[in-house]
Amino acid sequence: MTDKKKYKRNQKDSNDDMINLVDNLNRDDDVKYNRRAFLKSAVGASVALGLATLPFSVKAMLESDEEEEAFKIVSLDKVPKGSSYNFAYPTEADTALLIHTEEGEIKAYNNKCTHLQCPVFYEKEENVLLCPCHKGYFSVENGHPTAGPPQRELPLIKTEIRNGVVYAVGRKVRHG
Amino acid sequence: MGKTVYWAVIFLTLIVNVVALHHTVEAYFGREHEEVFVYTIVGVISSIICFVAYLMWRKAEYKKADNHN
Repeated sequence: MTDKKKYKRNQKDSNDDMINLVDNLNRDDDVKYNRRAFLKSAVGASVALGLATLPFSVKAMLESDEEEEAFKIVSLDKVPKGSSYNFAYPTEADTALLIHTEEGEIKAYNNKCTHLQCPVFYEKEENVLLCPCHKGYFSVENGHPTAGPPQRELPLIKTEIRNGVVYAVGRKVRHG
Repeated sequence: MGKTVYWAVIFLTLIVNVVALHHTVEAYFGREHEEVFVYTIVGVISSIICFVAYLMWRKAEYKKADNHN
């Protein structure tokens, strides 16, 4: 820069038309928002996103410590073939359905519809699980939706039969 | 390594971390805890790689130019 005195049109905040043509070029912004700053922001974002996975792991670890004990559902002789039995597992808020199919298989799922949480019922005639709210159908075999609005499967409850009594021994939200 | 490589590594880790976080959240709400741990490990390792790449880039970027008098 020279020490020559600037004309008025070249001074800062001049209203001269030729100066205002380049008003969008702000020196402060040039210093602040540049290539280096962009890369630093990208690094910050990347590290933040990577570390954001940590709290989920910590929470998952805490939840894994809670061991699930076998939960007695009902005696098998109280659920004849082609019928179902309502219970709650793993908490009182998680309603579930035990199904004894015509073929003699035992299936159990949480029965909140994965569409809008309506209760799902066993339809013996068609051998399907039906959510009557919006006509959502689930397969009895695997709990996956077969028709209607639901997109996700019903959580599967693992069962065991010991001395004629059905026990719930675990749950799988995603399966198959 | 050239500075372009550091840029590439940093943006690659950014992509990996976005995907890892997405899968972590999905696995957590699907109660697949083992998968949560896997994606967390991926995310943390990727973050470390990103940070190391940044430090190396910074070293290269702010290195004083050789004096050619």
